[in-house]
Amino acid sequence: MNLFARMEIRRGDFELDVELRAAEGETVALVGPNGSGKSTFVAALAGLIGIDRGEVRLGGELLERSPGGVRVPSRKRNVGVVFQERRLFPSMNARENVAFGLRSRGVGAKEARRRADDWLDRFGLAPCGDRRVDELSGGEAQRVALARALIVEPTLLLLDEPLSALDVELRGAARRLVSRALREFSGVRIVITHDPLEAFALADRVVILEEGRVTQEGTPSEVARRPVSSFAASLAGVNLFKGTIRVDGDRRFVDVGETSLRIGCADFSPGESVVAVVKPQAVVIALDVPRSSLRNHFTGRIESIESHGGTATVRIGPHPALTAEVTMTAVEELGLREGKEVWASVKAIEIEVYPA
Amino acid sequence: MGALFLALPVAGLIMRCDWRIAGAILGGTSVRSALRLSLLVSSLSVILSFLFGFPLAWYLARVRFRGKRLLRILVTLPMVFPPVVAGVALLAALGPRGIIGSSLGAAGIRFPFTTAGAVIAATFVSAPFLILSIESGLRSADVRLEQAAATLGANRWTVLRRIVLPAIRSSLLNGIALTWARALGEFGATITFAGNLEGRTRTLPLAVFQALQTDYTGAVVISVLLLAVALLLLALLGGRFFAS
Repeated sequence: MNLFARMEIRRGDFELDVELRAAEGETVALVGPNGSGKSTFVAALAGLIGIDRGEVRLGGELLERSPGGVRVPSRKRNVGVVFQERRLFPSMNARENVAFGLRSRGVGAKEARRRADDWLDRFGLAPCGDRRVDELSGGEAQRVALARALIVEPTLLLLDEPLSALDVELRGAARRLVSRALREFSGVRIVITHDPLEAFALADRVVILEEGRVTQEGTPSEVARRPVSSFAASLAGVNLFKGTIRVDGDRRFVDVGETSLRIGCADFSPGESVVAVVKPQAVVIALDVPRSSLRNHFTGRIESIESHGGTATVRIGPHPALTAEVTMTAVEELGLREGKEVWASVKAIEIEVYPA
Repeated sequence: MGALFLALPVAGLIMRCDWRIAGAILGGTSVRSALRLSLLVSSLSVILSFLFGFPLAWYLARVRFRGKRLLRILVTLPMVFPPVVAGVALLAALGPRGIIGSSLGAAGIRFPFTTAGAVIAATFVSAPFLILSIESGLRSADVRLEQAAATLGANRWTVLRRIVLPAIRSSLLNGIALTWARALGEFGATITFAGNLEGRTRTLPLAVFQALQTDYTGAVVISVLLLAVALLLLALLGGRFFAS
């Protein structure tokens, strides 16, 4: 069950011209700044707007071809969408929202209700079934939206900015929920986001969309290593660490091989597998043991320095391998050069943690 | 002052109403048949207005096309027609010598002096209230919810029933109340187009007019009845005109 989508869509001055493939069991993140055409892409995949030229195939079925006059309507596409603004139905309670897809497909009221309750339960929403949509918290509304999309067992799951509409305090829980939903869903998974770090943490493959065109495509580490556009450049050198949570008193760490990162987020439990993301700008380089409030210190040797304009990318290794972004002034003042022993430090709260 | 001016006629109606003979008049067969006819005609015209008006309102609210302004003017026109002119216009279209009325007559379909004619007259003048209310409801309804429903496999009918109608509920009820009240009070177009025939086209307003020729007290009593029916219908529709 693979997805192939090639589409050209014109809307006034804007033109979207994208080709995207995704395989079953793979999570592809479509990342781009606002106005890059992400929402248009979502709407076209879901069949809510037509494409001017191109073809969409999902699991061997031709959903759309233009020119050619093939266009399967939204309701027959079996594409589950979790919209950025949730779009829960205000005239129904949470359970009726979740059951809606089944009822629309002719499942009886009793059976639909039972299965909706199962899904509510699975997402920890058992007490919310009778609540009206406006009585749900942001996190609950997001879970209802996920359950509503998943209950009909779609072939393709489209998550549009799944984490953007949430309060910062809910991020940890929401990230865990989203990655769990992605992990448990066996079809084709596409996450749309404007946040590159989110894309890196959630996806197996990242597709970067800028001004309606794909500017780069690859695994998160490939894109981080060799960004080709200015938008992707903000991802350059992003450090990704896969590890497990360790709790020691009220302090939390991510153990990555033989090193350990102290993190600021509290809402993770021991043993949980996570991805820790450190931006290169958050890495501070010093020549001596730093005496500061920074929580993570590592010694290592500079493996390479690449300068570009006023800044330089400094790679330090071997354990952990870290990429730092520093000013050229700092490079000169500290006398940084390849082979030099340095200390690298990162603030605990600068480390973003995503459930893996 | 304004309130007094508006309240005075209502007060007059209630004070001049002779409650002792009210029972006898209201129990009379002619008033009973007028009441039954009024409820029948106004209900049918609300239903007809909805069946014909909903697609039209949808078209006005959701579809882009040339001549939309013209269509909206056409829809609004009956609201500003003097009712008697509306009646004459209906005669000119559907009457015995009307532009399509003559062929309808040849086929055995006649509207003057029939209840169907009264329904057509009431629908013609009251449907615009419903169409414009539904249109404004559809304009403010969130299309994105309908799209979400479609991605979940809902067909048009399900989307209409479970998403659109609940979303426009308040405009719809408002529109029904206005339409019903207008149809219930319809006089000029009805008497001109359908005539004043007891049991067929003599609705409550026509019965008031009839009584007024001979029996002033009776006319007041029937008027109070008509007012009560109108208020009851508005109250049944959620009483939103009485809430602030």
